Amino acid sequence: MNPFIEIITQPDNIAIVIMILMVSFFMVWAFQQAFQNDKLKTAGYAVEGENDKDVDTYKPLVRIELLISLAVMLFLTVWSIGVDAPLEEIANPTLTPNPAKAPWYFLGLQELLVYFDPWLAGVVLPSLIVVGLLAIPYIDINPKGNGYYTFSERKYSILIFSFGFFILWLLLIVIGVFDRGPGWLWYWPWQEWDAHRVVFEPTKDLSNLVGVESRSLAGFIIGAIVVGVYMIGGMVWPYKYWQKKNPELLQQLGMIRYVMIVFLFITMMSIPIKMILRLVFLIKYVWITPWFNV
Amino acid sequence: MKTKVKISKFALLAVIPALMLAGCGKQPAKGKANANSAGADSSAAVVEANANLPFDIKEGKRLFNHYCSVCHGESGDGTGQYYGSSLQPSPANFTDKAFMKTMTGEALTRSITGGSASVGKSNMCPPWGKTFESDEIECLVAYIKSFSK
Amino acid sequence: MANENKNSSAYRAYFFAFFSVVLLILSAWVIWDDEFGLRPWKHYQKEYKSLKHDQLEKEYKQAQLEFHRSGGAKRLADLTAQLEKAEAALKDKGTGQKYEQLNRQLEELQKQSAASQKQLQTVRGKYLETEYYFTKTQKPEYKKEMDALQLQIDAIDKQSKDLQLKQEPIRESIAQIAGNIPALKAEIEQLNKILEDKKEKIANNEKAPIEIKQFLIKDVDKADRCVSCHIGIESSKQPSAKQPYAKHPLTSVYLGHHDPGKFGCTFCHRGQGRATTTVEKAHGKVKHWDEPLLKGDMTQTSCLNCHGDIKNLRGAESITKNTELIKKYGCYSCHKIPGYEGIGDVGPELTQVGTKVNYTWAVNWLLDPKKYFSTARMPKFFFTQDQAEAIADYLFSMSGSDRRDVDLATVKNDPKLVEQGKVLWSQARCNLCHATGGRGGDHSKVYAPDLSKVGSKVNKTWLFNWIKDPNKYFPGTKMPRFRFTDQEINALVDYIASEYVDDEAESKYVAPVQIQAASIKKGKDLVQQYGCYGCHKMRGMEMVQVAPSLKAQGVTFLRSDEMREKIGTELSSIGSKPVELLDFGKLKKSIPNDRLSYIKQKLRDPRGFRLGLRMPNFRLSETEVNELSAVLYGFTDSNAPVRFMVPSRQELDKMAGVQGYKFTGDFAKVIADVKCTNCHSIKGIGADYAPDLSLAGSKLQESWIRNFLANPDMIRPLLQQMPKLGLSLGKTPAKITMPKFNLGKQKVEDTNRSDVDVVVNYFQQELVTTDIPKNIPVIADVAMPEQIAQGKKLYDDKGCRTCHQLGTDGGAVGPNLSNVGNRLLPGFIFKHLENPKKYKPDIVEPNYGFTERERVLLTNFLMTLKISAK
Repeated sequence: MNPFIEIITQPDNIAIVIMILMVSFFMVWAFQQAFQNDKLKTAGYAVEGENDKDVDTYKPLVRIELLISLAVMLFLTVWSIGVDAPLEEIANPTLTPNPAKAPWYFLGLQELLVYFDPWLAGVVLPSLIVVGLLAIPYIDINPKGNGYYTFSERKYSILIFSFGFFILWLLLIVIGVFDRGPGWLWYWPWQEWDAHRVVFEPTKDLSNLVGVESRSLAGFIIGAIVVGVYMIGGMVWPYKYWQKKNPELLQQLGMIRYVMIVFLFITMMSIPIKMILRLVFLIKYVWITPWFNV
Repeated sequence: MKTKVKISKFALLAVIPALMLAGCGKQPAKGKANANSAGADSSAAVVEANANLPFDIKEGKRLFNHYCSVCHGESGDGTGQYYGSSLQPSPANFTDKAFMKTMTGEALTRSITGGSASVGKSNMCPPWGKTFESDEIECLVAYIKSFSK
Repeated sequence: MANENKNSSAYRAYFFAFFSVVLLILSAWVIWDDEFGLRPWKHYQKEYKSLKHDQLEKEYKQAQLEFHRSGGAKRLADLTAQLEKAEAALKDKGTGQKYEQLNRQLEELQKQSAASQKQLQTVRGKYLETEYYFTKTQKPEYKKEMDALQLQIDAIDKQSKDLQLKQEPIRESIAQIAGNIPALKAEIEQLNKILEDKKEKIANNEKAPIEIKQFLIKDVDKADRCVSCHIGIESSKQPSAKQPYAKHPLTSVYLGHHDPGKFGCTFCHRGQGRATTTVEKAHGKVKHWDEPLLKGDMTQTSCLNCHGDIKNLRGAESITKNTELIKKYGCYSCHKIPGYEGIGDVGPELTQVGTKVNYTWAVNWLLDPKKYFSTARMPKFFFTQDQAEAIADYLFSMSGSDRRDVDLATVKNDPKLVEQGKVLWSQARCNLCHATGGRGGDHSKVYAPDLSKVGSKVNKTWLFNWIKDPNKYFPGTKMPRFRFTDQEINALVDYIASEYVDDEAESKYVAPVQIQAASIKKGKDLVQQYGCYGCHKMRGMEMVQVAPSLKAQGVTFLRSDEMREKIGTELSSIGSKPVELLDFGKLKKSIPNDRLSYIKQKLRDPRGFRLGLRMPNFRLSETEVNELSAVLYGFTDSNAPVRFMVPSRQELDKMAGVQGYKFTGDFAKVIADVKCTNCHSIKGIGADYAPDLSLAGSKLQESWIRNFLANPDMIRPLLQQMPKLGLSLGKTPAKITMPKFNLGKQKVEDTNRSDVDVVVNYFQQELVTTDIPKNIPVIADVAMPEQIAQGKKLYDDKGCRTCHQLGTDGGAVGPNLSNVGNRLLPGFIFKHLENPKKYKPDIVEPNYGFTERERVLLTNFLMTLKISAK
């Protein structure tokens, strides 16, 4: 069979395919609604749900939920009769499966292991994700967009969320599921997985580019400077920018909120930056320290 | 077979994402897989056919060739080369269809177990009942009957 | 707005109704799937039941017919009539009333008896309970209660005994009155039982539950549910030969020795024993299940899991035959295979090969061995001309410094010697091992080279030295040292050199050419890369005499320690290697991705998977590929529990700390020289080409052994032959019919004994068993001549002449018995007739089940069969 068809019809991957479809559909649908509302608002009309204080739950919500739960149940029943649990070979303690993949919802995190130290990818970044999600109610001071779709009133929040969720979380999962094969090598969906494939891809560290041994003191210093400049610059530059452009916003946020938002943001952005460095420039580490590598 | 049917059912479900992702890259050439298939010559087929013979025929043949063919011949026609030319009567011809029609499985079994003398013929074929297990004789009977088919 | 709401809620109601209906249908589907869809074995069990029913019904009908035919039915009618008559007579006589009364009395007494029995049980129960409390608490009141209860028990016991006693006289009087009625009844019941048993079987078959059946083998963690479909696997009479209803073939051998309750199914057959949902899954023919079902002869590979010794193992014939191939092609030379250690090299020693063969021949041989003779075992390495020359250079430089061919035109052979050599050639039966011109040679057991073109391959000097003492050139060769005189050897050499010549042989280097150092270096690398030393011994650098001209150029050879490693992959667990560890390379898509296909393809075309593979091509036939792959598939790291293991003799010896059997003393020297074990097996050493000599001392008469060694005769015409090795006789000069063969006395090295003496002595000292008696039992009541006559009668009655000849009368399956009185010892004949298979497992002779007396008579008769020597 065509490897592409084969991989997307694997019982394991059916859920992922459904996820791709659903997420795409709802994303498009939500943005459509948002843009429609924005148009209405600019034309001076009120938007449905904008001024609602109380909403009737029983009729519109619970009934629909009941119907949907029925539909889901039907779907799950058919699925479970039609497709057997995708068991593989008997577990063999002397043999690690290749590729050894995490549960699909963690494949994004596993993908990060390609770009980061296990300590960063496995501990620091997941913790920051949790902390960041917890912090959203406290750092979000924009009261608009409650109960209705809008884009223009929450431009930055929506863009940042979309980037973090669609690209960094979901896309990495899709990559982990469909594009990572034996040896965690990159396989396009139409390529056959081959456990004996040989790939030669020499990687280097950042300081090697300027001819400095990355594990030396000089390399350490260069790395520290680069990381330091990114972190501190990333904090200071937006501050200066907004001071000029929108000092009121800064005032509303306050220093603590500002630092938290920007820290989380630049940490998030460090992921795609590191991915590009690794995939395009074949750079393994930027900064090597005795305790962790960045 | 059943699993295949199941998969194809869900292949329908997969058509939509397939169309979606199809834009990502070109389809692989399908005919390629068959082009360089390992050369399966006719001898392989013959060997395979031999390996697929029913067990009792194969085992019967082995036993027959070792114990019986010396007199009855490997082709079962009663012309084994170790049977003395001066001896009478000559060994039974298992390829004789008319004769084999009179020999039911039970008659063969009796004659093998007790020797030819036990069924009122000459004493030339010895009794094998103490040499073979009953299911070995079953195999022999199955093979002997196959000569006249 | 309200209107719209109403519409949408009606809409939702339709949805709800639709979903509910679908859910209902789905629920039915779920139940059906769970009950039937996922349980195909139910269908098979039902089908089996109905087949079994038909079979039993047929048996019942047959029994009925038989019952009628044999007069059973008539007898039954008779008996019933008699019974009726007897019962009527009982009434007529006026005793009927009394009879009934007595019966009623008996019934009453029996009722009472039963009641007292019940009472007894109750009191006993109480007693036991009290005893328990007493044991626990040791309180005296319990003891008192116990005593009271004991009294009660005794009383009841007595009462019931009395009741029993009272019944006796009544029974007697009933019997008196009834006369033969009970006997009639019993016989009727007996007759009815014959058919009723059959009926009951039918009923039992109906009652058998439809359920998952399995063999649970706890210590290997196996639950083999194969019997859920293969329901009749253990039955003795199969209702159908169709799968899955058929019984296991050759049950007595396979299941008889491997109780499925202890071994299960998948241990031998592989497959997925726990799976019950589809045939493909259960047979393991699904992705991720690396162990597909083994069927037919292939199953015998599993014998290798537990049996250390499969030689003569009943039921393992096919795999035993297949393992011969491992020895034939010497797989163990490059691959480590447990159980195949310490077997001699498959190829000849090559250190001095430069003194043996022509250079051009060597190069051509390296290029394609099968081109020289088609039965060559050496594989093709696909060397280029340069590479082959480099290797030849390396080999030749170990004993010289030139590329050199003998000029065949200059070889002169003395016609007289050739004539003499021809006679010697046939007397020594060289063709037994060596094929020439397509005749002779047995390439299934003895792998001696084809000599058809040998005259163009080797030079005469080497050939002379070789025949004179093969061990000197190649220690460990299978070639025996014939006791020829130098003159005889010259004759043989001339005969071979003139007769077996290759007319198309090339000789490029009649004028020798100096070997280049660079080429030797290249050859050395190739020898190392392809591990030539796996099959061919070569002496290491330390022991090679390098020609001075080459030494000056710094030529080096491999050291001994560089030639030890086996270059191939270890094969000890190839049969259980995970499929994903097998590299199918470019054939990934063109052959099935399973282990067996991989092994077969590897054997067919070892380098076909990708570049850089080193294994040569043995050019096996498709049959050989199948046979060899069956063996390889059996090399598993099976986790068989110790209780399954049947270690080989060697392993047992090793475990017990005992040295395996070794030949001792002068006999060992004779064996090393004459290589008896090429053909004969002695105490487990050697081949099964010729009779096993382990018990020769208890079997054969001394004078016969001596005569036979001097002049081997055919014992079993057409079947086996023994070559003339020219062994000398001891004190008296041999009476040998061919004067040219008279070798005179030859002593075993370092001793003063003749080799025949040594052999005979060893036979009588070592190769004997107390199992075979020296003397046979004596029959006292009949005179000897009469015994012999009776023995002769037995010989005629049992039809021995079908297989044995006396004079020229009889078949030629077994040995000619005309001289058996001079050949065998009476004890052996006596013992042999008891169970022929005991001393020769593959013997054709059946077991007649003779009584001891018959055996003595036959032995006495056979011992009179002698041909007097002149």
